[in-house]
Amino acid sequence: MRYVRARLVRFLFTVWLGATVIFFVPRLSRSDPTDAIIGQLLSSGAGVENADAIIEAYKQRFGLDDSIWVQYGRYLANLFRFDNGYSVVEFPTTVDSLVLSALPWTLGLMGAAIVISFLVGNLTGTLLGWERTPRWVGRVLTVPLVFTALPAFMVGLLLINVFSYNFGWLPPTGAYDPSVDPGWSVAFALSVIEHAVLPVTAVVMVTMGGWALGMRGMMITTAGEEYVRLAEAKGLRSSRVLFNYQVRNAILPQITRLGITLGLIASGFVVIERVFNYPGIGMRLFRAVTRNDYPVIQGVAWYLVLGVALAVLVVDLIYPLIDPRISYRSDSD
Amino acid sequence: MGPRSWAHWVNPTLIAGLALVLLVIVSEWVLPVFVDTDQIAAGSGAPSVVPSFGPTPDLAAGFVEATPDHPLGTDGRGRDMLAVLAVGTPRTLKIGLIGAGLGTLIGVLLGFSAGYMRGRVDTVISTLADTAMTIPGLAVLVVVASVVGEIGVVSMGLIMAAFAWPMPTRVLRSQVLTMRERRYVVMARMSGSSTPGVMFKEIMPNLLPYLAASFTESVAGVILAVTSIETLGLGSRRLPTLGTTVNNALEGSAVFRGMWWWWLPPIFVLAVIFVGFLLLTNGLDQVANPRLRDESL
Amino acid sequence: MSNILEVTDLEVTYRSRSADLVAVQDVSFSVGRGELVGLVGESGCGKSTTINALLRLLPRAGRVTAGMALLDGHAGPLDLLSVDEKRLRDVRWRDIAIVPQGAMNSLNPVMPVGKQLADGVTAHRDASTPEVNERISELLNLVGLAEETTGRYAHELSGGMKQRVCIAMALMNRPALVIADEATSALDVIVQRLVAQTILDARDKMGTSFIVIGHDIGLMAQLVDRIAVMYLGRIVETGPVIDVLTDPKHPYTELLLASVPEVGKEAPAVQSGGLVASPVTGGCAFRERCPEAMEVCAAETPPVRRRSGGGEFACHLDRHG
Repeated sequence: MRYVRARLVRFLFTVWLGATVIFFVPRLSRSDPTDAIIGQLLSSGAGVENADAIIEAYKQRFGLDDSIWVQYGRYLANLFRFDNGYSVVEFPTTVDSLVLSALPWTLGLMGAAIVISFLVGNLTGTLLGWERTPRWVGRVLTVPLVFTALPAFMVGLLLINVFSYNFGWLPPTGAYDPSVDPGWSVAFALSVIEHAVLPVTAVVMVTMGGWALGMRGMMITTAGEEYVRLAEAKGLRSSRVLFNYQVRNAILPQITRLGITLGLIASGFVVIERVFNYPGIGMRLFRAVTRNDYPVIQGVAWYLVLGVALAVLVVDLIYPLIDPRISYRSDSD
Repeated sequence: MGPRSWAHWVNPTLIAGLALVLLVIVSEWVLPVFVDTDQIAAGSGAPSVVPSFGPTPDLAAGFVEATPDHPLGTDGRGRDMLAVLAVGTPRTLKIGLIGAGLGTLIGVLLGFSAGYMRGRVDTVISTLADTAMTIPGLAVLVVVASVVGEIGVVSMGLIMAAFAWPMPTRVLRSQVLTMRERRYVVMARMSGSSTPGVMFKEIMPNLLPYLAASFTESVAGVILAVTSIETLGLGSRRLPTLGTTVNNALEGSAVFRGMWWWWLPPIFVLAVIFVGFLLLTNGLDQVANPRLRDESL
Repeated sequence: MSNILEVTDLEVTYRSRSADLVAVQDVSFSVGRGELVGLVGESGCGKSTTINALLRLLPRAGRVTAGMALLDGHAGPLDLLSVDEKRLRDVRWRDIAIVPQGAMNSLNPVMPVGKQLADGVTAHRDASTPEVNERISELLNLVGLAEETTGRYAHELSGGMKQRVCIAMALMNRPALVIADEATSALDVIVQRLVAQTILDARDKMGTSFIVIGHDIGLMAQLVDRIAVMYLGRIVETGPVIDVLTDPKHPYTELLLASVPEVGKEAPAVQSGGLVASPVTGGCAFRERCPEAMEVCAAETPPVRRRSGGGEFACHLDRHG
């Protein structure tokens, strides 16, 4: 269980570091976020009936007279209780409930995009690196890789322009058609899928190339391995040699890489949601930015850190199941 | 094996990338010759009209497609797009270069220390770098940028550096660990010249291609990150960058008004930058690691 | 066909961007049923290239440019070098198996040993699980491994254990011919003995033929029936192992035998010239290192002479009559 413990420690360390950075870095700048929040509340106080109550709540919450360390301790303690405070703009809605209501959309869209991209990319890479792939197939497969260098939102804009604006085939924004009642119905499901096609495609198009190139390299490496040549000498079907011997080993570093790049993927997703007006937590972040809703910005940022760290932890914990060389008992990294 | 010969650096991928990047850089001095950059001020394209959201583009409505006066048209607020690009492109590039430059510098120092000293120093630096890599940079950047408000090119570059160091740190560390055991370095160590300074001089020339590749990769990464947070409406508001231009186009619903000349040019320039730096990075990787050349597509 | 394998005039060429390199040339030999044939020579002499050509496992740059290799397997004689993919897959592991050189990396690191032992059987016929398992335990027993080894992964085994797993794997289908490529080189002497014993057992009990590749002349002497000596891509001498070792006809064989360390014996001076393989350009390839080189050695390819008592050698000199 040493492995599990080491991974858990790393998870907690990541989350703690993220929270600490989110807490301290803004305070290093001249403007104090608390001042900014209160200032904003005061300036909009005329329109808000209970401005005093909010200010009171915040003063209490941030304990303005306490030292920064006491504030920091309180901040961490509150994070533990999943208490990120209140939205300034939508008081008294809590930050956590805002995030929670947006989370399923992000998880669904991101999950779909990551899974599809990982599968399609690695399959492409497998074929690109396999000795028996016909040459023309290899040529055709390199074509979709040209988008690899581009940011997802860029491809997203192009897709919207072509498929929504020019052809009108697919909806450009939102998560579902507002005229369809949300619920467990086929119509709603179809609407959700229809709205997810473009953003997911955009993300898949720019991320699959990375998987494909990595997999291709690993395929070339494993092709030279003695156990693959021996499998060949055993007269196994070439599909068995390919999947049970070559791909099975080549995929391992790709899974490690998945863990490393999740943070980057999540960052790209925030912008994708903004471009597609998709009601996930990236959109919440964008709205909070435009409305200067500082507690929401801070809260979403922390949830992003937490979410990615959790996903990395899951990848780490799954890894020993597919690579017997890493055992839960071993203490090596 | 000493420092590599210059022949290694003559590499088609590298040259193509360099050409694209230079093209973008040179445009900083070339474009202002053709366009009055003062036209980035709102309404300069159609001074007398209030921006409107009318369905058909014409000068009276505040924005136009290409005209002789405005070869790339004007945006929803009547700003000349060519002027916007002429001002925005170098600003975006500068942020990338400053961020990646400082990030790489930090990476060199940390990575070299970790690889050279090993032991506890290595553990601390590696753990920090690995952890920092799994923290989504955008989340933290948004927090910082939303507090700071208006951010100039230099400060934005400095902020970005804080997120550009883990990758070069890892690259440097693993390279130094490998190089450390190479025969000529072992020889240098045995012959008494084992101070970090001498090691640094011994190892650095061989690390140059790795470093250069890591730097160009960072530039693209920083530009992506800064463009991303600008797309969320953060960063510089007074003067345009490519990212804020995309954000303006999004806010102005440019796509749905058919104003392709508003959102497409900044994206096109960004694409050239990204492809250019990708080619540069791949080319430098091939220089650093000649075996890759035979395997490249 | 009385022999299990007959190789004639095998030639293998490696293509590179700059030039083609002939790695193996005019290699001919045969292996009788139940016979153990040793193939010796220094590294780079073409031993591995020869067997990789027979198994059709040459790296991409390598091509068989001439020759035949008739294998008399379960479906009758066929040329290993030109047979189509489908029939090749059919004879692989069923008629001809290999104990690979790099036993360290020869096992799939993420597949339990038992599965790797089994899939070589089930790929060729519908064998029931109990039947396969019985065969596995029989063979693990033969090579001196515990039955629990089936559940283990490669990283949990020592080098010697992995090597023995590979031997068991090669014998799973009772193939007519097994190629053991340096099967004992990386092992300590006691395990070496065990491996040698396993090979002899397999021959006695199943009539398996072996091509044993190695550079340990001492072990060869005790193990194989016939021996072939390779130098720079050619076979320079063949014959019954005792004859060749006690009465070497080719100067290279002599040098090889003299280089075997022996207690109380001084090592001979060895000329290093010609150690690096280079394309053979007429004449005798060994001439640069040969202590008895003559003018004719540079000009003409040496004639193939018969040894009394069986075997051949290729030299301009016929010193011992």
